[in-house]
Amino acid sequence: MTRAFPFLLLSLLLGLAGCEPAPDDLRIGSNRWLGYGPLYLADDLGWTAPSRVRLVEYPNSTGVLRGFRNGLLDGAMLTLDELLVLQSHSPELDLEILLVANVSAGADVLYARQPIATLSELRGHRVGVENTALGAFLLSRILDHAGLRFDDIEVVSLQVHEHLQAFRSDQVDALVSFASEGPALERLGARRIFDSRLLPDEIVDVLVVDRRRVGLEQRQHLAALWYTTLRTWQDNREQTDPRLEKRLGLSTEALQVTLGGLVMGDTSLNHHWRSEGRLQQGVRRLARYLAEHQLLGSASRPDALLAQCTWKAAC
Amino acid sequence: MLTHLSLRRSLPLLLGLFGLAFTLLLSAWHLPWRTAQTLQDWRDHTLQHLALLQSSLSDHRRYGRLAEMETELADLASLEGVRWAMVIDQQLGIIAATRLGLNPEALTAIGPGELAEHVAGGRSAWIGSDGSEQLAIYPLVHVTEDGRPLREALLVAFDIGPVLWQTERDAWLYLAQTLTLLLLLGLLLQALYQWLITNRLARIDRAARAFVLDQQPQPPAVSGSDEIGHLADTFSRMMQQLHNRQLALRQSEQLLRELIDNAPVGMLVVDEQWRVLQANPAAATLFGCAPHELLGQRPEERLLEHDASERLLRLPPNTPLQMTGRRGEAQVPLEITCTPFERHGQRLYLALLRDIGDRLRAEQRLRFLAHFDPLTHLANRHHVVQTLEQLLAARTPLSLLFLDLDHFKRINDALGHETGDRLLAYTGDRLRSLVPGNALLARTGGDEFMVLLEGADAEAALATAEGILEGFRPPIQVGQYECYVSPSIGITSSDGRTAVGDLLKQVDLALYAAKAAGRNCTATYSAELSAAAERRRQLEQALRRALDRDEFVLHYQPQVDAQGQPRVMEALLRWNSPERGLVPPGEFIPLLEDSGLIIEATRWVFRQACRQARQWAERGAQLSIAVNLSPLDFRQADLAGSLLGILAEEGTEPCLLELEITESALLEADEHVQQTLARLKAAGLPLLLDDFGTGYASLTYLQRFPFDGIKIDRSFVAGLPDSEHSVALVRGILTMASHLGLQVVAEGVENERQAAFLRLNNCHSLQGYYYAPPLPAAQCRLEAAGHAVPSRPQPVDG
Repeated sequence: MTRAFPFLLLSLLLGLAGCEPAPDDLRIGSNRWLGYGPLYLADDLGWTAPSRVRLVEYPNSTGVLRGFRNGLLDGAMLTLDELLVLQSHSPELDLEILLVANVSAGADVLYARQPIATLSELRGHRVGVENTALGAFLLSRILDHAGLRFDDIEVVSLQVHEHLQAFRSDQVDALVSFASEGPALERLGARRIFDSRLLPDEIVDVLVVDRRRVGLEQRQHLAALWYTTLRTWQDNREQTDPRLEKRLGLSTEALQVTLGGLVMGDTSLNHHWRSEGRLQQGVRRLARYLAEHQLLGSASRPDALLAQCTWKAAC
Repeated sequence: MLTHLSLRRSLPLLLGLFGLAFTLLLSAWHLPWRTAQTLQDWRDHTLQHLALLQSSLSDHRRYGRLAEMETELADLASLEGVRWAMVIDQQLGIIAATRLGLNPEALTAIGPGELAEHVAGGRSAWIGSDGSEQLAIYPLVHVTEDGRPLREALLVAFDIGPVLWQTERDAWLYLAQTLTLLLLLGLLLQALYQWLITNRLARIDRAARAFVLDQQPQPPAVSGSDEIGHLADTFSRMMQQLHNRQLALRQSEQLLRELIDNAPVGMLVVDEQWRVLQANPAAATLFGCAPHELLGQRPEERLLEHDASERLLRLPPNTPLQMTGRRGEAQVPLEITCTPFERHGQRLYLALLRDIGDRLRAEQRLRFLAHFDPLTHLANRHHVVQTLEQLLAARTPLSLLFLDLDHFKRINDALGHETGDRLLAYTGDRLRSLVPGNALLARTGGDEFMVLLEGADAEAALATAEGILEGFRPPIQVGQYECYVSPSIGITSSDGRTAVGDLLKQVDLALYAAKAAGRNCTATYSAELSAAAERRRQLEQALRRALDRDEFVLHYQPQVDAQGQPRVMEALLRWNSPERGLVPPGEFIPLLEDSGLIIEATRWVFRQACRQARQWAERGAQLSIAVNLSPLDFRQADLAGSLLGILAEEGTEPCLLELEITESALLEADEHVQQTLARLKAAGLPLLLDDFGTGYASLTYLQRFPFDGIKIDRSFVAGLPDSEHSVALVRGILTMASHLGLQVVAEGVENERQAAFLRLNNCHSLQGYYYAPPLPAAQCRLEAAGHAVPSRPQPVDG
């Protein structure tokens, strides 16, 4: 018996002891939004299971936030404002923006019925809005642009799937909705009078994780999965688009229109946003805004959301 | 079995066996059980979950809260193992689902028809209980506004593969961890075991081996106060003790070896065939060789006897056997004893060899001394007696001569014992030449010899005796002395029927008779000799009684002066025996002397004389009494003291007594006699030399001893006045005495002529029958009388 043998055994034992039970699947909550498409594509391609990532589909971001808060999720696809609200309301979560999923550049749209043609004409009209954080933020920013206040309009809270019906049945005069709803609404005579292109870098979707539950390695895997799938999607639109349409319940047209209003968060975008400090600036600005408008529960910690540059690829 | 293995192997083996048993147990029993248990737990848990969900979803459906329903489904789908969930209506249309794109009619687990039945049936079901993919169907029933019941269902697809895989993986991991832990623990135990036990035991073992090699005691091989430490201590102590014991043994062996090497006794260790295995120097010396030369040799090679081996092999233990050893050309008488013993299981003998040459010679000498006289080399009395016994037992006729050298004592005294011894040796030589060749010649003691003539009758014996007498006539030359030696010989013969004791008595009597007959003659035993001896014996007994019975009487014979007046009365002892009458003194006086009774008799006589003298003195008679002293009286230790004691007791004046001493009493005149006489004279007792002229050296005695007077022996007086010879001698004696101033008494005066001659020659004190015979005191005349005719013509003494 060589002298090295006991040490070998000891290291084996330590290795086995350190071998935790296989980590649970990484549960990533998401609502069905094209901006989060790569995740759905990865799930549809069966890439999530090997990466031990589980996509949990919620009908809306409200469900996602609730699931996150309830501890059912380890990570989520959220808009930046939703993230800030979540952080302020759930100080127990140690949240980190893993990557920027997309930046809205026209994907969020304000449709209005004729004859309303400008923002200022909204005064006194009924405005349907999804009763989500994003909805509230968008509406607030629109009012800012219109120079109106909440009192000047009548806010009608709607679910996303209720938008079309509410517009058709004349329950609302304007709708804060998504570009994906655009074709159907326009057929009913709705007109796009404002979209997120006027709010550059403000409507940002991010992939966020709870640091306590998601290890560094898992974060890396997750990010890699995102980037890989995104590239696969972008490179193979013909094969992948039908999958996304099916998974997201989108028509081909809607997909095209929505995608036109989105800048997907690929590697270079993320690199730029981080290196140029745009992400940080955006987060801070938004936090400030939200705080000013009492949309944030308590003091937010926008800087805590950013990765501490511990991994090169993200910085 | 474990004890057959090294301790270093048995422990790992045991641990290995435990590990194997554990592995088997875990894989064969624990793993399937755990899988089943996990599955069961998971299912129970899920069922509860679904039951809760059932009512919640029903509510959402009733109130049309589709988003809530979808959210809740999404929450469900976040759970592990849930692949998807959906709510469908009776037509299998999707109301809500966890994801888009699902088709309830294209499920793998269940066909659309069956699924529809389940939904319509409103019962919950669980499909695919065995596989990893399972489907749960839970009915959601609610009633529409028009009261129509709507049958819808919650479908949940599970994939429990990962769960099972996880369980299995955990179980194996657990097994691996446990085994590794066990292995590590085993190694640790092994190391400890080695450190605490096997290494220390090995050290003790090494110490013990070292002790076996060099026999040097080791300090405790290991320290510590545990059992092994104690063991090491005990071992160390044991080694020390063994060492000490060995040392003692070695010293004892050394001592033994030295003892054996230096023992004067030859020692051999031999095997059962008496081949020599070990020999000590003494043994080698016995055979005149080096010890190593004896090794391997057999008895025949060193012993003279050709059957030595055979005899030695038959020899019982510790029984001495005499054999003869060879020492070069010489022979050594040996005494061999053997003692069996065992060494290393082999039966051996320790043979002890002693050179018994000296002892044999000593024995020979003893035998010689037992039967022979070392001085003359003749047989001794014992030998003669033995031979006599043998011959008489065989009824062999024989004769026995008993010789005694006459007056040998005088020669011895005069020439010394050495000369006396040499004379005896020469006497033996001469005797040897005078007796027949077959005669047994013996010296039986002192100057006594015996000649045993086997087969000789009395006549032949007498002839031999005469021959001996004749043969001793020439003197024997001893050194410068010519010694004339004459034997007296007693002879007795036997026809072989006499007892040895009787024969010896007879020959003794015969010798006695020969001596009595005047020495230098032979006497043959006869019955008369026996009878005479018997008579003498009886007389002696009677004499002993006589002293007690007061049978003795004193008679007195006067010594008269010129006027015939008695001056001195000589006391003469008479025995008035009731049986024998008045016994003549010649018969009993020698017997008194021979038997030693004379000493007591003299004391009696002296006492009686004292009393008589005193009586006479009291009557006014001027008389003293003369008492004769026997030569034997001088042999008692204190004659003077005894006599003076009596004198004092009786209160008699010493001047009333005189002592008459014969010359023969002075023959052995030594310092003692002289002192005795001087003392008596000093006490005032006059001393007279009796029987003057008959001895060898009468004149010498007169010079040496303080005599007051002499008594002229009767033999001189008898020849007066006719014998010129006697006349001359008497005149010479009287002249000498007058010159020396000595008183002279003549005894044996029997007639007037003798008395006249003596008076004429100035001898005025006369004694004899001419004046008066010895008479009892009462009849004695104390005054001067005329020339009375003796009443008894026969003088008996004095």
